[in-house]
Amino acid sequence: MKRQQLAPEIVEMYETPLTLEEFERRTATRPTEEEVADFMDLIRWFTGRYPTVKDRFAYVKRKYAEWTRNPPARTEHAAQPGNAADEPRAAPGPRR
Amino acid sequence: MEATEFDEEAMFSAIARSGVRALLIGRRALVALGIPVLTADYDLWIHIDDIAALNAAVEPLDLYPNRPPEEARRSGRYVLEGDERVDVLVARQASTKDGIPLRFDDAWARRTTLPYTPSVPILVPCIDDMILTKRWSLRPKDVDDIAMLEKLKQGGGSTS
Repeated sequence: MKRQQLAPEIVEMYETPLTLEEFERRTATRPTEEEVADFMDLIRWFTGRYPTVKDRFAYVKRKYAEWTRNPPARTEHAAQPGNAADEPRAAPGPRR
Repeated sequence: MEATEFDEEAMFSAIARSGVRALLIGRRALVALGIPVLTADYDLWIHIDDIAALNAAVEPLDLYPNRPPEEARRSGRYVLEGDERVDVLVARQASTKDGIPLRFDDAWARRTTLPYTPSVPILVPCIDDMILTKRWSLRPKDVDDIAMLEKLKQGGGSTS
């Protein structure tokens, strides 16, 4: 089996469980209408560009491979938690 | 030895043909719904009586269980291994850390069907049930995933 692995420090950052209290605190925030609208723009971009689930999985596989080769923690762009959501914003599309 | 290319479509097609009650969960289910997040994992939640059927369905793809069905039933999970790794949950129900249960049968009844391809369906929990599954482990990445699922739900995502 060949599988790309995340750096241990990234795994620890995103996989180490929080206390229930901290988890509740972080999930209590409700998104604003503007945040929801921005997010739905992103969904429309992604599902429009990759209309089937197979297409979306292929995109994620490609991006994951790129991400593990050059993880954000080792670059200036360090804040995204294994999350590709920022990537399409840099790509041609409705967001920018 | 060189790794062979995992045939993802063949796996989902085999599962669909087998009649196994299998829900795709985890981050890959978010991707299926149209949320662009990164993951390398395949996580399935299957009916506890369907272990042998799932194993038989994916065996031609060189995916093999790491423990026999009776042992998987006792431990509540097992792994299918080969050119890819598939984590399989086989619990009748699972609960959040603060005690909110989710029964497989209920999640199955509320499932959402998505087209992997036009001819191969893939099944995921409804958004509310997926949010509950994301509360099982209390990881920071689950916080992010819940926030995105809430936005999708509020935004009237196609499966909300």
